[in-house]
Amino acid sequence: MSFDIFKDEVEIVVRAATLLEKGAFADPAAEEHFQALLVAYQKLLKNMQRLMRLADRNEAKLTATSKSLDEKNKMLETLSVNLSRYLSPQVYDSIFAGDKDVTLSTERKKLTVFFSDIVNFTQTTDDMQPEDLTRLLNTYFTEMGKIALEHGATIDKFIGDAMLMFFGDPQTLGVEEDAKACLRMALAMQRRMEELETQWRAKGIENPLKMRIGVNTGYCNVGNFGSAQRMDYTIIGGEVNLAARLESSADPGGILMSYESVGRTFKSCRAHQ
Amino acid sequence: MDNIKIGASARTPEVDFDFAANAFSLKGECYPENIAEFFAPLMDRLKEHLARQRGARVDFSFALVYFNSSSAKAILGLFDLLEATAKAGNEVAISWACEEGDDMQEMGEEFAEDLQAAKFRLCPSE
Repeated sequence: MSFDIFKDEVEIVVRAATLLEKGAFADPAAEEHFQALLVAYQKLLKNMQRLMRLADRNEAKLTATSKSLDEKNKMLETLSVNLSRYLSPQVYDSIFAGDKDVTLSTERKKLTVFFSDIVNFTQTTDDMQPEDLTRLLNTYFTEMGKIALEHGATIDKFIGDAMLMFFGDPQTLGVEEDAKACLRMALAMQRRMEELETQWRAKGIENPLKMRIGVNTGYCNVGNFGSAQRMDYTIIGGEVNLAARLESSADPGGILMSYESVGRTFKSCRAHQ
Repeated sequence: MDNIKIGASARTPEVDFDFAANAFSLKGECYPENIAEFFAPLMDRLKEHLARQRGARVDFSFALVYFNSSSAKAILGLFDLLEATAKAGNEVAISWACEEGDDMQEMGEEFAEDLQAAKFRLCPSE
């Protein structure tokens, strides 16, 4: 069944032409006017059909372009989600929101730095099969990463079994709140490590991983280091080294904090010095 | 009459109206924000000029890559004007640039359907 959207208009043209053919007009001037009107109507109808076809074509083109843009957007979205896993969410969000320039620049800021590693990791790697060790490490990093994100840490990097994180950039709640958030995170991590230790032992792992943590608050240089082609958003400075040294002196399963970090967190947290 | 030469913008075509040479052209994309603002001065000047032509040769070249419905209506108006000029005893040649088999070719053929006195030529690019 065909559907002609201009059926009514075509019928009007046919009826008008029939009237003219039959010589239905007594007044020749009126017939001439009618004839002129019919021609104008036919032209108008034809132009309307042309314009509708043009509009339909343009719409089809627009739809195709929009579909192709949607596909490209989807691809870019997937790509950016994949790439975001290589960055700390705060850094990723700052770049995507346009708050941070992707240029080689650094700032001096008071940050609370978190440094951790696994006690006797080298010995553990020697004692375990690589597959078991990979599984163990992935569980460890996944669990610790989850806690870090819950507490708003900027995950700087994983260095072998070590983790470097900081609070205070790109977002900050103020030096004191940043330090408190860091301590809360460190405590949550050690608590989770205790739970994991039980689970790992139940699975037959004789020497489960044990973590040492060092926390320090102080001025660091934070920003993009490296080259224009390959840069790393990280922190450097003596205070970062101090956090690493505190970590190496911490007890297995413990947290060792600098004097300033303790001072910043003393009122709200029960820190063991 | 002073010539009209307007550079192309993102939404409007390049306009080159050489009244002394009777050579006119529109080139580019055409979807102006305000169709009347863009076409009215061009149509007025053209109407005034063409009305004075007697037995002249008039060349109008269209090289449009895209136009919207409002522009299509304005272009149909230009065709009417050129057809009337041809009927008044002038030699009017319209060239319509397109690519072989594209929408512009089809549009040109449709637009030219009503021309009787003006000569229409499709100019497919290679």
